[in-house]
Amino acid sequence: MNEEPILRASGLAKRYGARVALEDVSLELWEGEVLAVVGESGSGKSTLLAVLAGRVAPDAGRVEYRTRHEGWRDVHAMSEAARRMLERTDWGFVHQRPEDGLRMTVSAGANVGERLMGLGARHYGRIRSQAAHWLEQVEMDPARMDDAPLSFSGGMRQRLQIARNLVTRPRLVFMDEPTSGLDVSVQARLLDLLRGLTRRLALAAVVVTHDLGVARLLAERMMVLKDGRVVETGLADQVLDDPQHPYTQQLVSSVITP
Amino acid sequence: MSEPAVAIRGLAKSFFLHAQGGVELRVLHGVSLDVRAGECVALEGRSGAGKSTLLKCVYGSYRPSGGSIRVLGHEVVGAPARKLLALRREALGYVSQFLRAVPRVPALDVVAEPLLERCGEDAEAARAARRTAERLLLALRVPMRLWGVPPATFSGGEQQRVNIARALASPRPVLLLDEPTASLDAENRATVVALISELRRAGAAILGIFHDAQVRDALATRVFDLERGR
Repeated sequence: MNEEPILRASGLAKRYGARVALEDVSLELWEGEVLAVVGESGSGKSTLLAVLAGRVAPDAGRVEYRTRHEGWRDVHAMSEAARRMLERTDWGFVHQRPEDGLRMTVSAGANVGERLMGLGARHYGRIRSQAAHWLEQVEMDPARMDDAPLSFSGGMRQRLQIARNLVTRPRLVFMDEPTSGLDVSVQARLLDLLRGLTRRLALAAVVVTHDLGVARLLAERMMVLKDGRVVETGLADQVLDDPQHPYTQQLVSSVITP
Repeated sequence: MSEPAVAIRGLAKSFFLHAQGGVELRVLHGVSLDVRAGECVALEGRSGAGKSTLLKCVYGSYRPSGGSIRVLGHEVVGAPARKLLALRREALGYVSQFLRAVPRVPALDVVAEPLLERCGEDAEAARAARRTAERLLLALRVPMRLWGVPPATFSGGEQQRVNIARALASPRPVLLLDEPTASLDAENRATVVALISELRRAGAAILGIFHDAQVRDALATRVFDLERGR
């Protein structure tokens, strides 16, 4: 087990006008660990994800990523080119709406292969066979490889987005409400798939969700945000079974268990 | 003598119910208890005495209000999440009355999962893990036609046997059992008792809640009364 985390953030703050989106948020994430960030709409959880992933600059605080070969790098101080390289290789970002993470009019195979080509892959046959392999990993029929995601259902699009992210074997994946736009049965399948993949590939992941059930299934650790502040952290079962903060208690007791 | 596998000192646990205006519910106050390797301690006490709460504190799901819990020398109270996860992975097993079913995962994989997690992408190790899971499901008489089915729709007894098989698939040196035989018939109860006794004789330290007097007498080497504190 590596004794250092793979991602660390300290003292993150972000305001939009007078509204506080984040205030003094710090966290550490280790290799192979899944952290769920939960909270209601407006709690700042999506802002946190965007700041961690280098997409939105914080007003204060630092985000650092431990690269494979060059040690720790400040995510917001690195060049645009270096950050894009990370996004194409070591990182993945799964959007809530697959349309935001896919190119809807090019084929499924090209959507997956594109990330490989970004890394310099040029051998058409190999790219195609790798694309087919990853479509299978997300339980998609490789026969659909030449179809564009426009013709896919919501659940298939989301699985394609995941395949597109995983083809470069990232170490760290950011997920923004990855299952929330889907039907319940489709959601269960996707959750199971994500759970299997994160464990099998030892992915580190930050998953933003408002759904405590999703958090319990996917994550070992949990962080509860309210008005941009961390009100509670711990193992997922600690936070859900023995919530300490009044807000977490309210959140947990509001869940409907069938 | 060497340090006990589980050493609990002055354990206190209160729940603060904020929605009820900050009512403090004191469940455990000053529990001290040792469990040594090869020992099975049965927790006794009326309903609400805090038996399950004690087990959950040892497992780390509940965060104690005070005291100390050492498992194989490692402090559990206030341990960072990562340390606790590592301790669970290496040393600490917990079997509750209920199976927390994961949607869509078939029974066989539920049982094999703790082993599969250690396999990574090693296909041979994964096959061996599934064979272990099959042996346990056979021993616990879970019908073969159910192995490929997610346990969500199983009967209470079937779910419980899947749960036990999961815990036994990768036995930990410290085992916490919360009513492991609650919904089993006599025949399955006897099998579970035999399997758990075997683990104890092999050196596991077991702390458990057993309502069934026969099961308790068959398993426990010692009884600890939570209300009297000994």
